[in-house]
Amino acid sequence: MVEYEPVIGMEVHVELLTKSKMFCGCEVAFGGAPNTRCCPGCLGLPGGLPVVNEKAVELMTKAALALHCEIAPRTIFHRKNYFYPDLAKNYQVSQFDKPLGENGYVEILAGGKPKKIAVRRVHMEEDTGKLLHVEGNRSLVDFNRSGMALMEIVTMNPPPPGFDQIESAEEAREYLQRLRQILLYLEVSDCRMEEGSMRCEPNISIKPKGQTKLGTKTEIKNLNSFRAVYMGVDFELKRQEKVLREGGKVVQETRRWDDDRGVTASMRSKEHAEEYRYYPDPDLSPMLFDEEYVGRIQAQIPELPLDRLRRFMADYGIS
Amino acid sequence: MADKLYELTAHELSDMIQSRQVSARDVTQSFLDRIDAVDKSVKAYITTTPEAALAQAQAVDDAIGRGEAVGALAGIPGGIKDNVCTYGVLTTCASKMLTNFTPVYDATVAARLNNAGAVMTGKTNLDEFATGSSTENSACFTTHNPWNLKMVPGGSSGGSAAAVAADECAFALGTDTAGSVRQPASFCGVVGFKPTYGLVSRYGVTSLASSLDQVGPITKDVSDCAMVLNAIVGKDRLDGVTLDIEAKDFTKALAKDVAGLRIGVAAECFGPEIDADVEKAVRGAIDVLIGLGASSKEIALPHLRYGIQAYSIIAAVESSSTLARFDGVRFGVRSKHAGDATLMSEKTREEGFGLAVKQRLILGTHLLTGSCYDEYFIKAQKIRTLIIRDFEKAFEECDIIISPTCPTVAFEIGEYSDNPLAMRNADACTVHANLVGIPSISVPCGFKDGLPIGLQITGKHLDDETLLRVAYTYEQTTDWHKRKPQLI
Ligand SMILES: [Zn+2]
Repeated sequence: MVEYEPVIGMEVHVELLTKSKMFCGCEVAFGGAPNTRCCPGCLGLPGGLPVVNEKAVELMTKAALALHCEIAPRTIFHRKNYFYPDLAKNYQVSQFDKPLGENGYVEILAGGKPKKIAVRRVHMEEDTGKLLHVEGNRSLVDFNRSGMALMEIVTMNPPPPGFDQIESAEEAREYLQRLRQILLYLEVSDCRMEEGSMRCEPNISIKPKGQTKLGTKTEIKNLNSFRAVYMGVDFELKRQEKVLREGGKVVQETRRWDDDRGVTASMRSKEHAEEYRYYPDPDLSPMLFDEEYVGRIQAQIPELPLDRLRRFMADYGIS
Repeated sequence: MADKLYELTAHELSDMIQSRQVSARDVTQSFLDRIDAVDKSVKAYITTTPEAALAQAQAVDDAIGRGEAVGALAGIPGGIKDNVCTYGVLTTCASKMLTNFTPVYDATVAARLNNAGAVMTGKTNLDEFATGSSTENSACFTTHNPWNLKMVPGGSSGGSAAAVAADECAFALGTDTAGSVRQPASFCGVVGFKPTYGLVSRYGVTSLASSLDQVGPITKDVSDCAMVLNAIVGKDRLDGVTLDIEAKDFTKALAKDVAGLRIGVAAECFGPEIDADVEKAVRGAIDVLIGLGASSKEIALPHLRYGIQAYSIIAAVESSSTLARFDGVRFGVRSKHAGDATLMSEKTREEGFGLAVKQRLILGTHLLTGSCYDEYFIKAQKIRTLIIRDFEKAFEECDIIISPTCPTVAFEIGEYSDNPLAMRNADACTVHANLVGIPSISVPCGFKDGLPIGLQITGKHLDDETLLRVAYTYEQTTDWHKRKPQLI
């Protein structure tokens, strides 16, 4: 019988612990009355313009360095174009081919053994508003979250030589927990999955063992806890294997995790590659990072949990 | 004199208000009466704000009465292009999309004028979302050229230029993306200035193409231009691309002195599209400056001829996303045929945007798709870089460059209705300053068939003062700026 091996990629979004939003002075807070924390910029009113929140850039640089990324000497923002009612400007300010950080890793312990999960990129972007569906087939939009600073961390599959990838539901959960621990330590984010300040969208495919060609992948949304991440990835791996064993084909799609029923269900097909028409945002100047800046941020990074553990083990001869 | 206050320049009025020869209220009333008398035929304003204007003027009079020091612009009536957000005052961008849009905030330029004590007479007409060169693309109505009502006033800031030319305000603000301040100023025989990119905040100005847009004054003479600049220029923490430079007093540049000035003249700026009489007037103006001690030199700007194409691509791309926010969700007119969210934005945009805007949006969206990005957008950016280098090189040999502002004088309303693309030629001489980000001014330099001709002076990055000095010197040596259209 064919044996399958999983390929798991992780796209993690975290909200940064900044006082104000990514591109305007509006206050960042959880909850509260809808549409009370917005301005012409984050509401996408005519004439609204973005101005970079330097604190957010600093926090992200710190996170990228702690994830062992190379910091780009020059980075720019792009406009990611798509229409959706919760996206105030109908484009999201994000990063495309010049992210802030690249080629890092997160160290995890897989069954007690250390693994370096390769991180392809760490980039900055702004959050969207929130849609609320109400009685009478109507929808309302709350823009309090619109424009909040988000950091996106994406793993690299396949990993470069000397690095690893996530290969099981346990490792997916472990990766996320380690990442959270680092970001909490750095005070970059409060990483509350239930409040949405840490969001994880794994993409999953399986392929016959030894085969280099990747299988068709699906993406899972609505994973609001570590438990859900574990269960969702595990379910999806088993579901895909069943489909293939029965001679079927995995459909490229986004699937929603249903926590009550413990299953993933199809949300939308992704057969057609989405075209976001990225291009450099002319309202924002390029950001330059010199060695002095990077050095200064690097110096702010405390000893990270795994490093401390290792030091204790060496210092006290614990194993 | 006092019975025709509206005929005076802003600096003349300023002197009279400050010395208490007239009240700000009388000045404002004079302009409001003038608007009542002539705007029926000129149609420069989309919205007038007479009550608020008189209240603002009264506040200036009260301050002067209390012996408080007021700024040079205090009590001076000005019009604002209707794509600049004004708190509590309808701001339509001349689009059906925004016929109900009353901003809850002031654009930085509007706030700065307000703080300087300027009086807002109203909001002036434009081509919808500043897309056009004649105001014929306005969803409201077409503005008429005060020099000949059958002619266009130019665009997109046509309402502002016509209002100043017709004495319906002492000064006005326009926005210039490819010549939208200078070209209408040229057509209407007034002064139009596009400052160095980043000198004036764009916050609250409905953007067309962010990397090209700049707010600029339209005035009766160069001194007024410097006065308005003083009020609006400066770093704005709400616009990240504004430059962090020290405050300047632009009126200090107003000296009659061009001795030793090196004028660059490029053959590329006098191509076959330039009307013979326009060329004659511009060359005559160069001779005037030479007569005052300047010298002229042939310079080469080899990539200029690709400017319009590069501009069209960049402007289309940038506006395709900048104008994406007009979807009926948060403000503006929402289509009544909105079944679901997708249909709502589709129908709102289908019904709300006019043809010229739609053409630009479709083009821009297409240019960002697939291989078009590299084939057109990246190429356009490269051309932009080449044009920037052309100017850098040219400015090693000269201090300013002189050309016509427009290839022709104002054309007839409807002349290009069958062939809107041909109208792009109207921007042929002006677009480069936007691509390069350098300052450029248009001042009157003659007439053809009773219609004004504009002289364009373009200068180095952040050397806005030299432009003002040269323009001032030319203006003070001639009297084109003193002529007025006969409206009634
Ligand atoms: Zn905001």
